[in-house]
Amino acid sequence: MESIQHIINYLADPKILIVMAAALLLISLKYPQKFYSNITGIGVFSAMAIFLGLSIFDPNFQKIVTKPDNVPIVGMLFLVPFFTWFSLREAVRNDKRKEEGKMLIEQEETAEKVLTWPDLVYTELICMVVLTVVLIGWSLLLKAPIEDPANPGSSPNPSKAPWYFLGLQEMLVYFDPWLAGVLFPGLIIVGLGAIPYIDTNPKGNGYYTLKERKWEIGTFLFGFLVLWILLVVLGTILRGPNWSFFGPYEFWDLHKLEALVNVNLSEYIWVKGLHMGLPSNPLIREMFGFMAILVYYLALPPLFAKKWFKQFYTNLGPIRFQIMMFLLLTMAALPIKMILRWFFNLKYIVGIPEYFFNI
Amino acid sequence: MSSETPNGGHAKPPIPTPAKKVPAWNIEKRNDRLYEVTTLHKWFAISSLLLFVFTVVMILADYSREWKRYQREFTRFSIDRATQDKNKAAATIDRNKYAQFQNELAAAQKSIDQNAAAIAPLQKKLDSLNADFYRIDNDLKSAKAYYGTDRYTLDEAVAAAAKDPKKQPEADRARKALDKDEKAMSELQAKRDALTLQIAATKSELEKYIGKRDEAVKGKETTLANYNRVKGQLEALDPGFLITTIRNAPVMDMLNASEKVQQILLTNLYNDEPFKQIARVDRCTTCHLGIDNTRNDKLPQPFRSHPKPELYIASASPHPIETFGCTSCHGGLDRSTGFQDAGHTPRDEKQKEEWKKKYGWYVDEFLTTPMLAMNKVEAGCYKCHNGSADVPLAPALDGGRDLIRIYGCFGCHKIPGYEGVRKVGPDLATVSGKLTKDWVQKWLANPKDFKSEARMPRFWNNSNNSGNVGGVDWDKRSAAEIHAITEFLWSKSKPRVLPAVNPSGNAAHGKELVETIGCFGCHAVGSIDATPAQPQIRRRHGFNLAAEGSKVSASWIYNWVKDPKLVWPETKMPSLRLTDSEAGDITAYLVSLKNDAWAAKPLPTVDTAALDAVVLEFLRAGATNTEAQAKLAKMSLDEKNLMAGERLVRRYGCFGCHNIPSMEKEQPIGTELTEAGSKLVAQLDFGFMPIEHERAEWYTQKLKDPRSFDVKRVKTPEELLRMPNFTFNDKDVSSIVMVLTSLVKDRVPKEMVQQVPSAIAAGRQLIDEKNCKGCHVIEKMGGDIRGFLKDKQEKFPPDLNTEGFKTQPMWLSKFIKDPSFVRIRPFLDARMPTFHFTEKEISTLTAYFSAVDKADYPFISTAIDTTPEKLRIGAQVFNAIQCAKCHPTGSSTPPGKKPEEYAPNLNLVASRLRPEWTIIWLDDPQKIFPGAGMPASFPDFPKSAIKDVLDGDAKAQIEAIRDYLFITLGGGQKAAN
Repeated sequence: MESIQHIINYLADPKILIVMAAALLLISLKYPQKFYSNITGIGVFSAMAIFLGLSIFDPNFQKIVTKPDNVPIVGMLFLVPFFTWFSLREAVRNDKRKEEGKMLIEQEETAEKVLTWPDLVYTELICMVVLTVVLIGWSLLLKAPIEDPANPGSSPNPSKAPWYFLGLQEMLVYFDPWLAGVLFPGLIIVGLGAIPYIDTNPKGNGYYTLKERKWEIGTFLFGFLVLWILLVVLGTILRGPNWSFFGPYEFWDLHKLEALVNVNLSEYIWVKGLHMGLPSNPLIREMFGFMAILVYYLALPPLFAKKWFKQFYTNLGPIRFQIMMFLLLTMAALPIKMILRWFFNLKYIVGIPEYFFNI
Repeated sequence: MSSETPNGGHAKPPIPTPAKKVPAWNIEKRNDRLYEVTTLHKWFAISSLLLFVFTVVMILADYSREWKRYQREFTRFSIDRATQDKNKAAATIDRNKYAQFQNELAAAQKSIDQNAAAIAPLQKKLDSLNADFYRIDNDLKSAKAYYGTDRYTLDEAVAAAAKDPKKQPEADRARKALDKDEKAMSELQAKRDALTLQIAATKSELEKYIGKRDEAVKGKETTLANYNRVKGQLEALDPGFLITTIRNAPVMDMLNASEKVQQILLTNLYNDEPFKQIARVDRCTTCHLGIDNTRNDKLPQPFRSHPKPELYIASASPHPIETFGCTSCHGGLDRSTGFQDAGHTPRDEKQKEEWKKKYGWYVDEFLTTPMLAMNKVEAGCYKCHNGSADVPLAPALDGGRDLIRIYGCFGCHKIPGYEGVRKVGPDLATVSGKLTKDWVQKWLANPKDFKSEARMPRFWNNSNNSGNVGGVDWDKRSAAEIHAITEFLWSKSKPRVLPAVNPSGNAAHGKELVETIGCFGCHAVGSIDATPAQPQIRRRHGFNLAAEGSKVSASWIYNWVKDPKLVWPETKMPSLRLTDSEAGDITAYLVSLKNDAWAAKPLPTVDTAALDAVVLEFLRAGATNTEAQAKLAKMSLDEKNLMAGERLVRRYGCFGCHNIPSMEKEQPIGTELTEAGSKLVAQLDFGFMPIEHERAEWYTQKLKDPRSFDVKRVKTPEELLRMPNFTFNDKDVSSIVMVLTSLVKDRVPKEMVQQVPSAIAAGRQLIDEKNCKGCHVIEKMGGDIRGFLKDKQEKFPPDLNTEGFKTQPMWLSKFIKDPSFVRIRPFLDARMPTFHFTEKEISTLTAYFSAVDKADYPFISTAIDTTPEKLRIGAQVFNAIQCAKCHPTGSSTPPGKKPEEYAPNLNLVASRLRPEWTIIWLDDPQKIFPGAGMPASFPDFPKSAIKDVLDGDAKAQIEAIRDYLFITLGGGQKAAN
């Protein structure tokens, strides 16, 4: 039992977890018929339920999972995969129907008329009532988790953002606050708002499909599930005191240490590569980092337009393509930085602490 | 959603059309729907019902509070008692008187009936007058109100007119209106006055007929007063099931519920939150409902009354609940009304288990100020009672503070109340003249090995520095460290030149002397036979004399006991004025106390490699390894020892307790403990100790084994915890933990802090420093030597109760300065030692005693206003009660008694005692000193057994004796009359 716990603790490490999650998503989209079927669904969800049911006997796991403010996240752990699975199962079924020349599910459903009144409004009313009942019941069962009076002399450890911001807080591990706390959240909102203007693929309107929108759905799910939901879960359940990583069965020990051995790109190049000291002028010191960033944002889009995204470029036109590439590259910056951190101990690509400017 | 096919290829599905037009609102009849409306109805019904049920459950959950259950239970108790009270009151009604008034009432009523014809018109007239009065009175009140508003209008108008003459007409109008009001008012007033007179006249006329009846009714009510009062109380408590239920029902309870949160708002006391002080609101009385009524002392908790009503709660007590509340002393979360949330703390494991079962109790990690457990509650006193060395009526806390003083915790830790206290350990500037290097090395390795009662704690051979720790062989390292420290101390020490003596004596007699002349007020030999009533903490003030013979030479002991100040001028040890032969005997005895097993133990050999490792560790600070190695190679063995010794003394903070030349000004090395009781648990390192993560638990573990938080840790020698092990027993640990818990950061307003007069504070400080309470009982505390003397009550050193009121300041200061000038109690073996007090200390002590007894100081009059007749009677009574049977006087000695059996010489009275005190003493000596040798001569006070003198008035006879003692025997002063 203990060895299994050790393995799970090990696998829960952010670098393994995130890579595994991304790989799983990719594979599932590669073989959707296998993944988004009833049998796989039942299998996955019963495995999750068994995992939770067995793990709850572990005192450390129990302490984290049953903490009143973590309960919604545990619920989310089931709800989000369920709705993802459900919608993609519908998509897979629709794609199959289409291949066979049958009517789509939605078409069959809307063959009969659904009226706003009474059908929709009445159903919504019932939903409202039921939701109110659930919320009251919940608040009766779990007390508000109130801690000691706020004391700036002794802030709680770990200090955690509200659960819905934990994804941002996890990003702070890899980026400075001005990026992870200001620029990225802003771009997420702007980017989400821009989707309708960038996405010119007319398919999938009003019905589920995967085949016809695999790229769009894949990109979105990667951003939403891996780079947001997973980070929220990670921040809630696997980040303990000092924001150190703790496996699900690990005790949250205040004294757990992590070796802080990350170095900047400039040190890699100047010190390790060129065997020189660091130039004192920060702009010269960081010029390779700046170059990398410039190449990333300026050289990659034309390259993509020429080589891999030819179709997109023709469909979108230069401006829309440029905007899409910018947003896409920015989103990709997070996993890229993660990988660089995990495997190369890279702290900053551009690191000018003198001006609080670090990338 | 569009019904268009998105990508073509599919036929449009047919849309069913309604067969008949049905109005849109009639959803039952419409047939153009997809879903069954009746199914939706069902779901709606079910969900609505659920919502209703959950709403009710929510209201009930909010309504059913823990405290309401207690309030209901307490009301039941109160009703039971009020019913009993009512029955008792009913039984005590004076039925005869009641019947008498009843008869009077009947008679009066009869006479009224007879005079009905005369009464009726009078009554009618009175009713009509009263009605008029009511009307006129109301009119007058209204007129006054109008007058007020019109006066304001006039003021405004006059002010406006002063600025703008055009507005003068307005002011005139206002003046007229006011005049009108005034007229109306005075008319109404006149009418009202007239009516008042008329009513009075009519009433007095009526009184003639009905006066008797009114008197009878009043009398009847007086006999029932007590009963009615108690009955009223019961009715208020129990207004009936229906009313109680309705007023306390959910929602209704916002009006005038009988079950409600009780609270005491303390505007002067604060919760000390970061950056903010929030007034305390104590809601403890919401459940502890019977706390203020001593009649509840037998009720179960939480209703029991406070066990010390004379000290707390009551308005007349020093700590009334209205100003002090509960949490300011007890701790806990003031605003809470739940058992767990309030922060109740169990007193022991048993109660903890009980509470876990009963209330689901747990340690709340977020509660920064849990309640003090009931056996630790004295810790709450200190935040206000910190003005003097003793906290009144807190023996356990005081014991803890005594321990801190005796063991010298303040040498390393800053602890409030111990500022400027001398270091507890002996002066090491002369150590080489007293001890041998070998002895010191063996002693340092483990002082408890030499004698288990050693006060010096153990620095080596502890849980983090014995055996092999982190690759360091501590057995070798300890020997090297200890050797280096010893060498360093010797290099700094200059032996004092003492008289060369060659003592010899009788050890058996020496033992007797040590046990009787008073050494045991401060010292003990071997373990102390402590009891809860007499813990004899003060007998640890001086070091334990066990194994003294294995430590120092006979000549050193002789010089020391003969005159301690000669050997060490700063010593606290007083001189017992020993004769040469006494000193020789005591020396012989002390030399005979040996620990041979210890003496035979070999000295560990010092490993030079271990020493090098230590030296290198210090050399590495601020230097590279190569540089340090080079330096080390150049050093001689002596240099290595001295350097390591000095650095180690600094590391371990030896100068906290000992005077070490060149280190007199070093700062203490320990953590400041000024706010130890408020330290956050998160700031404490629990290591791998399997203990509850709680402040008091941590301190307990720290005191039991200070190094245990290092166990299993990987640390280099310089990182190890340094606090030495005092091997305190559990009781000592708990007392000291109580002191630490008492040191909270809460700030109390000045007016709420007990102001101890500076004379008393200074006296207590000095008394503690000199350990006077080792022998004497002072302010009802101390007399620890009694624990050794046990039942030999006649040998107890005197209780100093009422000392300030008893002795004359001049005499007292003379006695304290040199107690040898007079021997008051020849029957005592113990001697009052000579402390060599400074003049300032003497006046501190005399002022202290007077201040404690609130006696005049320093100028008093001992002149007595008496007559020759009184003196004659005094002599007569003096002989009658046979004072001279025990007391010698100038002219006579008690017959048949040896000098060592004599009671105090009465010739001393006039110069020593205060006349007022002598009177209360003669009345009943046992009242002042329970167990005093002198019996009460007037057991039937205020009557005397000698009936033929002064009418047998004991008080007058006592005064006569007093006068006789002071004037005739003592040659005292007569008051100029």
